[in-house]
Amino acid sequence: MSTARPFLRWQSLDLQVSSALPPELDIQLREFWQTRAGATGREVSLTLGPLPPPRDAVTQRVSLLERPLEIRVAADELWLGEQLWARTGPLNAEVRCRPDGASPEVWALMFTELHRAGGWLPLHAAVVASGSRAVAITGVSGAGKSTAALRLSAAGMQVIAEDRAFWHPASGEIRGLDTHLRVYDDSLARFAPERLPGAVAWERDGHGKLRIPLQTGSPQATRLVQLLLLRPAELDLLTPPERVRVLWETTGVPLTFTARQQVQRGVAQLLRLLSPHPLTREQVEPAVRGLLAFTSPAES
Amino acid sequence: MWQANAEVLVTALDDELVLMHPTSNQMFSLNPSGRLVWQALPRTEAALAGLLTAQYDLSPEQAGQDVHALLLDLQNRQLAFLT
Repeated sequence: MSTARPFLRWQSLDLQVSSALPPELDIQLREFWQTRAGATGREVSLTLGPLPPPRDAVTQRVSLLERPLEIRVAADELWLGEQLWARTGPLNAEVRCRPDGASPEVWALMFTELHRAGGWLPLHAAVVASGSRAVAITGVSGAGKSTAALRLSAAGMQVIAEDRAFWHPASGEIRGLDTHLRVYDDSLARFAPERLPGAVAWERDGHGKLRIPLQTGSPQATRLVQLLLLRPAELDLLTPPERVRVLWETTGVPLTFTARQQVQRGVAQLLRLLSPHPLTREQVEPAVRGLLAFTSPAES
Repeated sequence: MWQANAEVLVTALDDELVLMHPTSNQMFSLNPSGRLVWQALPRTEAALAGLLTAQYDLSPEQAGQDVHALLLDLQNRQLAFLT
């Protein structure tokens, strides 16, 4: 039996969220997952209460930053530890949270899976846009995605994601969920010195990085035109299997049945947008400038 | 009857197929004949060998050996299993 509460309604990508969670928990979720632009086409209800018992579920353990988590999956049903349960699908979903809440990291897994089931591919990538065109830059943590985004921002381009983006293969639209770009002081001084005077007003994250506010809720839909791979050193062309591996590392592994079907289709489409040429930090800025400056006849 | 592991992540790459195990993240590429076998699952080993014989210029013995080796490889990688 779930606790009866009036539903709060908000939007995450094209997902209409109806939340009966306590207001303090709902606010935390909105901070990470609420988006404002675009139409909704799917619905999810979030309620508080005991989780249904797992039935015929396959169990796996994953390592999160906080602690290991036991994940159980039965087709489109998902249990994340003892904290969250969901039944997902392409259009509608329901999520139940245990009465004492769930950690933000576990909620992140859940929302990511909900969006996968709705046909969105999560991309661990910085995204930079100019007009309606966007380029995503992926690479392992520490490869220089944030610094590349900072440099491109200083060059007049709009940063729409630092490393949390979702791409919708059916429409080509890409959306960012980050509200800030996090950079160290020396990166700011080196790559965007004209923004130094504003730094006094910015907060810092737990690592001491400056949190530069990003413009969220882009006034126009942006379409992904290319995915670039950032590598610390110059490397040869990616082989076809390496390209596939890069894509799965960029989007992560789906858990439930519908999400797996959607993501497999999406990865096949994203393969066409991945450049086989890995780029170094020095090469990425001119490459993105060139890609965003080009306008095809269909777009003009 | 041989069956594909339903949790395997499959990516089509030209005429090849790249399989990725969802927990170990190990990848395995199938050439066109391997792709034909994979996409025909679930089937018996004999039926899969028959498919190869019909599609390629192979003797039944050779097709049987090829299918057997592929299925064992898939099984060892937990990409397919025998029910």
